[in-house]
Amino acid sequence: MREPWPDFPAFYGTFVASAGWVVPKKYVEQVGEEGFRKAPVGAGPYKFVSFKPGVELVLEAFEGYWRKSPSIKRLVFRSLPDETTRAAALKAGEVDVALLLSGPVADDIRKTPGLRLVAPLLGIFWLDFPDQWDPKSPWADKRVRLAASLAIDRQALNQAETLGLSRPTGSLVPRDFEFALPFEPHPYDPKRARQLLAEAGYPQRVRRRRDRAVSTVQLDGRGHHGMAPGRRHPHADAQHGACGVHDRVAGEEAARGRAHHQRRVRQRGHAAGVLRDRGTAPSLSDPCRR
Amino acid sequence: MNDLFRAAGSELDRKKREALLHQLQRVLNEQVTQAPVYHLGFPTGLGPRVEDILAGAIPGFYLAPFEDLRLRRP
Repeated sequence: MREPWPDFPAFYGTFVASAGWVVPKKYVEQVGEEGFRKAPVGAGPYKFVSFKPGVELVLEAFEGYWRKSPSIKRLVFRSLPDETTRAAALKAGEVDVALLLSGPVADDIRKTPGLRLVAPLLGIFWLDFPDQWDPKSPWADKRVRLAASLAIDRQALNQAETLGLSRPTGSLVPRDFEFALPFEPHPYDPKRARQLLAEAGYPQRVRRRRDRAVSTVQLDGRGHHGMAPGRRHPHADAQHGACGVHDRVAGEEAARGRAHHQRRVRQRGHAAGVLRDRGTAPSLSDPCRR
Repeated sequence: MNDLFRAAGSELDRKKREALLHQLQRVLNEQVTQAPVYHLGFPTGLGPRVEDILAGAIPGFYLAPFEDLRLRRP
């Protein structure tokens, strides 16, 4: 290193970057990168047994692990991308732990006798504005970004997506992190959001086809950070739509978002939005403003 | 922001480092560079055989160290 780097231990010693892996040099040199991928050897509490991409990873306890001998002798990580499949496997006793359940699926697990639902606090979910650095983009204007934030009903999202188990926040940094400054989340204020958009030069206009007032600002599809690939917050889309901020969704992603949102509306009668198709880029809008 | 980030990354004095990182967070907040939504409560279902996953034993991670996981004895 050419200069002090106080983050060195965190970068290489924790899963923050997962950059520091202890591996046997001779073995890596002997089998090469491809061979190591097929039969990796590390320094952890479990030994690699097998890996079928997209299916499962099997590990066996390493009794000589320096810290302690693992209590569970065999771990099988199954790849079940769909949360309803994960929940069904849990209810059928095929798996013991099902990660990242949401809304009605999580609620069903919580209400099932013999099963439990826990919710460790993980990372921060945030809406990103990657185009804000382009001076020609609407997102370069702070008022537009603030409008997008004020258009999010965080409490409603929290209730719908994680049964109220998350903590709405105004900070990108978890409160328990070193040097974190706590910020209260912006309030849900659609009226102020619409006002800010108008002040920023994106006034509402009448779209004759739907005969309703909409604005023209659009978020791009990269905006919903922290979700599984291709997944977005349909409730956030709905809330944005109600304030004139329309999130573009395309293709398969749109279909998934539509089904998810309509299921929520049917089951909870909660969301104020309905889905409105516009080619392959549907937007969510507020029916009360139509 | 980049200057603050670089300065905090090489500052060894804890008080000065804290001041730089706080300033950086204030700028991010004031400029609304992102819209934080929530600190995710990671909903995880547990079956009847699971004694404890010690959620939160590793801050910011959803499971305990794997060697600490336990099943209930039959």
